[in-house]
Amino acid sequence: MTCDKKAQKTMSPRSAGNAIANSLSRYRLSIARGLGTLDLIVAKEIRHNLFSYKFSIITVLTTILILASILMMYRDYGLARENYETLERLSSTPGGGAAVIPPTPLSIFVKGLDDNLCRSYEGGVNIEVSRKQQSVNKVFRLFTTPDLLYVIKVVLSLCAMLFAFDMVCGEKEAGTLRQSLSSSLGRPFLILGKWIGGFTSFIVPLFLAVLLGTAFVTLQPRVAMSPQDWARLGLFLLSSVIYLAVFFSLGLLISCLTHQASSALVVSLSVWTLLVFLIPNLGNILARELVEIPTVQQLEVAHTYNVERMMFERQRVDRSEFPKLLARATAESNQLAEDYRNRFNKLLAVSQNITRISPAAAFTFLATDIMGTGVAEERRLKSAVLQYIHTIGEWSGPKDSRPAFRYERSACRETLAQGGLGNLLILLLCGILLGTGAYVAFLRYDVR
Amino acid sequence: MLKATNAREIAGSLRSLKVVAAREFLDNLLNLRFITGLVLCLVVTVACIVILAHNYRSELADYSRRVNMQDDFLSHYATGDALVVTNRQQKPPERFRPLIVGIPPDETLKSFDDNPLPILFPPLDFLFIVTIIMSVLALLFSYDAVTGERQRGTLRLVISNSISRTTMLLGKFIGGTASLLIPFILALVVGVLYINLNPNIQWTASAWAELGLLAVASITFVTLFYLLGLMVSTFSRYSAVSILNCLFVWVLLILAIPNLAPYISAQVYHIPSINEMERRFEEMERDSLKLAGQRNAEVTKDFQRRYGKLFAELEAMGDAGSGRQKAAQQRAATDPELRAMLEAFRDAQRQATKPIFDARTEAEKRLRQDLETQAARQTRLAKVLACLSPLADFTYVARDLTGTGLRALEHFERISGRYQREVRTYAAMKMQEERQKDPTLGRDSLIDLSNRPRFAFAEEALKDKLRQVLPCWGVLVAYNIVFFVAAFAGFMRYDVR
Amino acid sequence: MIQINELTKRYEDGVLALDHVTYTIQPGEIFCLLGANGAGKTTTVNILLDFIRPTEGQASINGHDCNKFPLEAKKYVSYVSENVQLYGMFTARQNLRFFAELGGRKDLKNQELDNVMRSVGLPEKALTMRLKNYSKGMRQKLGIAIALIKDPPAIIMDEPTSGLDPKSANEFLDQLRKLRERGKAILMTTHDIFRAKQIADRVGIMKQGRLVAVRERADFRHADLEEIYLTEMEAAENAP
Repeated sequence: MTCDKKAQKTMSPRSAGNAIANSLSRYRLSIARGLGTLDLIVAKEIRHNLFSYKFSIITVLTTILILASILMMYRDYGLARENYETLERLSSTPGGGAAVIPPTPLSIFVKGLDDNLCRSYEGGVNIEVSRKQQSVNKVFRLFTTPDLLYVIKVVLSLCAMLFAFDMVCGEKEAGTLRQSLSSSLGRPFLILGKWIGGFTSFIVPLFLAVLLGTAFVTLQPRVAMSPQDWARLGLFLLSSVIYLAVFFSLGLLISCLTHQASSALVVSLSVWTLLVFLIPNLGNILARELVEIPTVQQLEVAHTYNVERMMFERQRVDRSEFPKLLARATAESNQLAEDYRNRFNKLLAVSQNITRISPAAAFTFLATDIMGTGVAEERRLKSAVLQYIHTIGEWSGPKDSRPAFRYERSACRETLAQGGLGNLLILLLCGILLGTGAYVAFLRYDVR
Repeated sequence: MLKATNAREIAGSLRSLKVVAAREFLDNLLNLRFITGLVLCLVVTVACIVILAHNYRSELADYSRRVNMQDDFLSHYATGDALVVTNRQQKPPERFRPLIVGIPPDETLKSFDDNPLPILFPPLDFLFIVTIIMSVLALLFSYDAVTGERQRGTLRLVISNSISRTTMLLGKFIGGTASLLIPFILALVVGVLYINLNPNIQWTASAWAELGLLAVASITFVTLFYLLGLMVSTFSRYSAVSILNCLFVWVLLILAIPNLAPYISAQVYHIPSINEMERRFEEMERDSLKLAGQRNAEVTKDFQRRYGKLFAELEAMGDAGSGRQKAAQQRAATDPELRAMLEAFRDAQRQATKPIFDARTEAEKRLRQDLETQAARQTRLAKVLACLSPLADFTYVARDLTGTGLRALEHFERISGRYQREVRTYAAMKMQEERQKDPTLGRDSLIDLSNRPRFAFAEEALKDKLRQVLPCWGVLVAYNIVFFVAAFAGFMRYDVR
Repeated sequence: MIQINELTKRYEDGVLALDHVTYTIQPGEIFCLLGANGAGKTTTVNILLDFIRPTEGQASINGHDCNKFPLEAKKYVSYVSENVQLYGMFTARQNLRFFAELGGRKDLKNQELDNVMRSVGLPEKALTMRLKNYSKGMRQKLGIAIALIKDPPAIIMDEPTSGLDPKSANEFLDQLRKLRERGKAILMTTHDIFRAKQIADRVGIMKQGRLVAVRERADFRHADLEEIYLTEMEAAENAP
């Protein structure tokens, strides 16, 4: 005691330096010890999970679904390619004047609007759209497309929550939480270890299944992936991991806020239903009501009668008026279309803003945009088509030398710049918020 | 005396049944899941119905606008042609649209400017609420019906009394489903009341009947999932295991099977791709042309032999084609011998090649028919396979009962087709009439169309719809029975310790 | 009356849980079954309540075979289980009413239910309290109340004093004495040699499925029951 007092009285710079070095090394030691403990907890969590029933059943279910989905969508892609080849042949008399693009191999993973994108467009007063339906099967129209996006968005998010919902409250009920906390492990490390260990044991088998499916598909000769496609796929997988981390953290947060596994289950399932189904779908029909936009049927009727009116008037005037009539009809048609497009842009913006609060909706927009099968891509394609049709219409040279339609789907950077980044940030933000929430909740958790 | 003992026993069992059912009911009501279910059901159903009712109103307005556009067009261009052109009728929005959003008709798939958002986010409607939300809720109510009591120790206590396992299971089922159906029926009643508050919406007696049947079908669907949870509970020892198994089966039944069915049926009944079909048609055409060419050559040789010099003159006019035809026509006008030979030649050609082309048309027709038959088989198999999933069964039942499915679209097409034929006959008759009065009338002259037939859309009769949906409904009932029997069997051998 | 006659249970994995056990419990008698974990005490209880079936022999309550006519036999027995949570969202009164009605007592007034609960020592405020707020001792008392309200001739108790504090355990024994006075045949399995000595009329010692000794109260009233217990266990080990 007196030594300390002496030391304090004679605090020289060197001893001060020593004191700082000591506290730093103690700090470093505690970090190292902490990390060592973290390692221990993570290892224990992984081992515990590996032998649990939930791990086996969730792994089995998700592996089957992932592989089945990839195989089925691969077949679908084959059909889409054949469609494209037929459409191209039909309109490929040199300078045919129709615009059609091939399906992207990435539609195997995220189908999105690819069916719509791969229709053929031909100019006229109204733009002629045709598609060849390979599958005559009407049953297809009743149920959702089981692409990887759907599996991840709906099933894997559920599994992530099921994995995490009883990590804390279940251990409390079993009594092992008290046991863990009675040792010198700090709460922060415990919850961090649980998160890392749990999420790792959840995501690794899934990743392997996805890699297996992807490898099988991309090795097929019919599937040609460009480097840009690989980049897109990588970005998609990354955002999937972030999306699942969001739901995992949410499950863990719920676990830290409840004291019984059965309550945690009810809350988890309700929140999952709300986020994955209710907000995106309800939000969309709400947006539809908030924005004044004519139905597609009305638009079609207006277009039809516009043309019919022109045809009838043609029979009542002499030849010299024909170009004027045609010009008027075309102008009106364009006006209708442009008006619709403006309203639709507004609808899209409102829809995104309403539904974005759900990670599932943000993820859908992000994934479809990244893979080039989203609404943004559709708008981009349509403006390119309009431009092409205009060029063809103005073409003064011989028909044979008319240019063919060329189109490249947006690159990753472009997608991110145009709003994809916003969705990605929303996912990250959700993940961080929920993770922090779980951390804080656990620090104040009543373990008795 | 035996009868008295039996009667007493039955009375005792019924009493125990009532006690167990009442307890299960009350216990569920005090549980978090009931309140959650109630809130979820009420809020979601009401929100959904409010929005969809609003959407229905705008759809109705849109529909009358479209019909007015048609009438307006006809009033300005009342010609026979215009009538035929505009007789493509508009489909009015389904009267159950505030509850179930229908399938868009085919035309909307061909529009350049359209709304692709529903592809990414299917609309939320009553069908969705029942199939997704109610099924999960039902599982939540029943997954720990047996395992929870075992883990709590109350199962032992109850079984230690004079109550048979059958009675106990039955009591749990009755009490559980009663508590589960309360939020659902409440939400449905509130929603239907809201819909009927709207003056635009007038439901006839048959609409109410359809609604009643829809409600009963929904209840069948919901109890199916309650029994599934109950069954899984009797085969598990821990609630944690039970819920995982329940959700596994749920994913398979709701998500996996309906999507797998079309793909499996496509593998079984393989339809040749469009490329292949076109290749076959091209091949047939090439072959028939080649054969026809051969026959033509034979005929030519024959005529060369028979007519000699005269035929040589014909050939000198040029190659067979429009050039030779014109020259031959000119010559034939003046030369009767040449004309006779020309006609004979043409006849002979036609006779030689007609069977070939007939055969080709036959073959094409047969190929197309084969494709259609195979496609029909594929669709049928896909539907049968899909009906292994309760989701598919209920979707068919609900959509067909309320006229919001494919069947309703087909029905509309039939009625519309009939009307189109009516209009065409009327137009032809009117044209004839007017032409009698004024022979110089052209196709584009205005005529009086005020007494033209009007389009009247009538829904399919309820009993036809009912007959159609009975098989799928039957599958739902069968599932109920199977699950209950399995739960019964599982509970009989359940280890209560 | 509870009769166990040559009761044998062999599980599928070959474990012999009960080996030709025979004894009878008369009305007005408290019979304590002592033994280590896995000795066969709980197996006996499980067979009596028809949770499992015996391989040989039979058990009967008031003359009714427990496994051939379980529903009949269960009319005459009450079960007090170890550590039962009961229905947490119901009050004590609601729980009691449920089990009473299950046991055949209908149209019970609140007053009657309350009286039974008071008689087992539950405080006034606990009568309308929800079970999730009950302590272990209170739950045990309610368990006894449930057994009492059925008023059967036989009562089976599985480790009823485990985890009870001394005061509660004493109150519990008082209850047992009252029951004995009313002529109930009581089978109680326990580890607690101290309590067994206090309350039992007869003690049965089980080891690995066999009933190795039965001692009357006179034998152990003034002796060390624990010593007797350990001696018997050793003897059983050395016996062929």
